[in-house]
Amino acid sequence: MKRFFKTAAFKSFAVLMAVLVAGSALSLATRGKASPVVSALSWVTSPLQSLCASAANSFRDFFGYFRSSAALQAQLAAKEEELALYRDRLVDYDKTRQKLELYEQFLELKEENPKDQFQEASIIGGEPAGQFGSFTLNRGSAAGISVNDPVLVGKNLVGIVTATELSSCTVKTILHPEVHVIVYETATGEFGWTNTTPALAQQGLLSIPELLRSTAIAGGGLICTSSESKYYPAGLIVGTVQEVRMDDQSLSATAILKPAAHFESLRDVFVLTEF
Amino acid sequence: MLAYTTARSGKKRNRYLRRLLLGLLVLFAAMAQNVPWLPAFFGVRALLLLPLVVSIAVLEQEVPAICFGALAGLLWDVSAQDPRGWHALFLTVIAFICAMLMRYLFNCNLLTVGLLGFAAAALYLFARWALDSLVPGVGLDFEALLRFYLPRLVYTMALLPLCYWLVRAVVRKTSRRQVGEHIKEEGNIGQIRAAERE
Repeated sequence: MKRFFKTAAFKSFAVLMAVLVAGSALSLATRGKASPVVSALSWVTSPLQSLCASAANSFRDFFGYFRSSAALQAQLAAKEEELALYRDRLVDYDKTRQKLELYEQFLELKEENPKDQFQEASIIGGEPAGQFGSFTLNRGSAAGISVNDPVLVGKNLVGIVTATELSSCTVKTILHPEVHVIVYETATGEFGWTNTTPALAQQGLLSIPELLRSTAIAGGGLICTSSESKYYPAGLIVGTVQEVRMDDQSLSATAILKPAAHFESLRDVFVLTEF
Repeated sequence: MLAYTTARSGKKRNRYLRRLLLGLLVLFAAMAQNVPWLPAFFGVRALLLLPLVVSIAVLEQEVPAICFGALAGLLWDVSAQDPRGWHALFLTVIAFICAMLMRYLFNCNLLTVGLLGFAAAALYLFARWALDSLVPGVGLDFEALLRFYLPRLVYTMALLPLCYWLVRAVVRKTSRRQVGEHIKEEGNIGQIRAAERE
């Protein structure tokens, strides 16, 4: 037995154990830090370990190309499902954002005219930007809408209700030749009424005919509804003056307007049911 | 005399080569276990260092075997969750016990190595299971034992023959002795003592 304790093996074992136990004890005493022996070795092996890890990742990526097609197809199907879900959410988000913008405009309008009554509606048919633009809304007489109610988006005049059903109504926009609005120019105070021709309507423009040749209306002027009109409240924005043309055949002038409402992107509107 | 000196330097060279190769094997096994390169089956990974240390302890001389055990344990600790040197202590003790058993009691064969390897791996994994389960609020988790630790033991034991044959190949190629035995050369007393010192 004594010879056993004198062997080189036992002595080596005892020395190694003493060093390792001392390192572990020091680690315990320093509350969680690694043993000094381990730390010293990690200084050498950590770079090697990083190298091996990157080699392993490259190896794994390379052999990923040879994975079975069934596994890849399953992954693809799962990703496509996830993509469809995110697309739906994006559509919902866009709709919600548009509604929010609309309601912000409505809030501003309501705060300025607290006695006015509005009904929100969405376009379900027709093309607002089409020739002589008219469209159908998803609200009708059941929602309190009646013929000759003005249709707005924010403070911009869009058109007028011309026919109602129980749950829908037809609107003719200000681009329609049958729709005429009594307006005034805010800077000069000059009155007029809106009109359009097929050629102008195709370009999405209106006109205010029969102005005096000496009119002070100029390009950039803001055109709003006048209080003289019985169908529209005063102050709704109709459009801005693009140019003033002098008629060759008469002593009058015609102002060409660009409507304030964007008919191409129109989706949701407000119908003024009471003012 | 010249033949004796040449033979002696040749043995030294073989010895260093053997230990270098075994050191590289230990390093490779540590990387394979910790990086990890070894594939996982149902989330279970093998402990490659354990069977390797047992194989080295059985086939190599006692002092180098203990040193390799300590080295393997330290390499394990570098990547372990608790780097306080417990694996180094454990593998050093395992290497010492295996080396002593081979020197005084057992013959070197795959069965012996298998039994020693199984005992070492089982001891380690049961100790880990007990320690992990006794974390306050967990209690003994028998499901984890069946689903994780026992499969890990099986996977580790499956790699033991590979480790044994690799180490044996290295030792055989770099040693003129019969594996696991001390031989006595007839003739010059100095040569006999040199062989015994090896």
